[in-house]
Amino acid sequence: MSYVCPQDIFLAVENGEISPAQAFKSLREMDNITAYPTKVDNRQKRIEEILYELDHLIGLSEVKRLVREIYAFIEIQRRRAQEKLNIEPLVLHMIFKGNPGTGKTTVARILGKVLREIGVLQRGHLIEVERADLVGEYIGHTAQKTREQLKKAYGGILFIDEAYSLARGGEKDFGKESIDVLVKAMEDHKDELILILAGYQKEMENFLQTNPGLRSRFPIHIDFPDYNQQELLHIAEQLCAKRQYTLSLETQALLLKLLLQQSSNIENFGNARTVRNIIEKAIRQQAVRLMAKNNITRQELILIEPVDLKEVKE
Amino acid sequence: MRELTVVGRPNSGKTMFTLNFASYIGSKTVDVTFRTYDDLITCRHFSIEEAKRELCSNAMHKTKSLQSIVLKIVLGKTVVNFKLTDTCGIGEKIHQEEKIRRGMAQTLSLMRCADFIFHIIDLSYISKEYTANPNTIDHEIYNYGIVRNSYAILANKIDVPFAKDNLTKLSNIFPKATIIPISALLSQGLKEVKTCVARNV
Repeated sequence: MSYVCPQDIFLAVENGEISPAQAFKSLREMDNITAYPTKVDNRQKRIEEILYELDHLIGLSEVKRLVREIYAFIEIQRRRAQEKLNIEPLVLHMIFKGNPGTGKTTVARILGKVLREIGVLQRGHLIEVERADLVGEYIGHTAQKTREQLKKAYGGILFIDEAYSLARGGEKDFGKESIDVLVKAMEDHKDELILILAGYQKEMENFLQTNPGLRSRFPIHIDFPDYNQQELLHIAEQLCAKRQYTLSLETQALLLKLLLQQSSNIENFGNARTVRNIIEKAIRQQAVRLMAKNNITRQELILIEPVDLKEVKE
Repeated sequence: MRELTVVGRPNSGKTMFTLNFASYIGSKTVDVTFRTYDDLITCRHFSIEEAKRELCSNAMHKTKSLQSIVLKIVLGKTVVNFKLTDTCGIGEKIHQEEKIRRGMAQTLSLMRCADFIFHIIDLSYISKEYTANPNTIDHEIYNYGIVRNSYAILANKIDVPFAKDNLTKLSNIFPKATIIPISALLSQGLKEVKTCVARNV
């Protein structure tokens, strides 16, 4: 009998399936097995792990392809460098376009981790900022504030959410000053910084058109399409599974209906985030419902009933 | 804080050693933290004498869960805290009582993460059959411990008359390990244990 993890062995001892002496043998075997492959190629394995995390996101097929593409590109550039061939400079500034809740921040975080493992970024952390963090209150303050944020981001990714708002204010707005500082930094520090501008599709297009220089400085554009109903349902299931809950079939049907209603009602429909909020609310409702009961079975603790969703209306 | 664990057969003197060692390095009272299999933690305050009365016994399997005490050891001018955990004894066979099987599982899981393992062997237990059999639980613990590199055998009950000869036998059976002869009951040999602890905390 072979066991996968130490916990299994302990459980077997507890249930009286094996004796402690056998347990020691199994534990020793296990340590021998795990001692070797970890050393072989840790880095490759870690990268695969992170990419696996990415592959587990629902939908986003275009994004996944692009991240793999970037990974392959960087890897090959490195090999070329080893062979003393000419290499393309690694400029990886990006623009993420998509509605809220379509996974822009999540993907940015994963990218940070991937790039750190590959060795492109030293730290691979993500600094998330918005207009208010960059733009100051008086003349000269903006450059100072922006530089501060940039300094924090060196070695990682600076992620500017709703970046179009930097160009919104008109002629006298300080946002422009912030853009100038950013543009200079992304040229000067292109080895140690990746800048990601994110925002809604339409607004970002306008933003890029008003600043012609910007478009060419960002070689990578990624569109985050809205999730369709089926994908949203998948997300809901995944969220539930992670929290050890399940949705009954009726609940799923009701959830679909609810999502359909919301997506037609609201202009900037929150996509995955809305689903998460709904599920979290439903979980709370379920808790309230169960509190009233005396005897609660394990099954009841897991199952989310349609009643729980009925209360959820945003 | 480093965690040192005391393992061995049932009735080899683990609890007695733990308490007498605590007393040897200067504790008059101990706060014993009991940790049961389902992670229920209770803490009791004992004087050493009380603790011996309550926790030690001549019967097998008195200790059924993890019992930790935090101790202080003086190294030069600094005081270092460490945790000494007494465990449920483990035997070769599957025990019929579930509570004890759980205790054994706890011991095993603690051995995997402990920083140092003290393996207590009862010298009076060593017989001809014991020497001939390479599959005793002590062998298993030894084989497991020796790869971990932070492992020492405490040969207990050195005060028993015929135990001296057994000590040489023991070092033949377990050639690679550090063996410290002690008497947990009479607090003999604890000085060497203290040096060993000082090196490993």
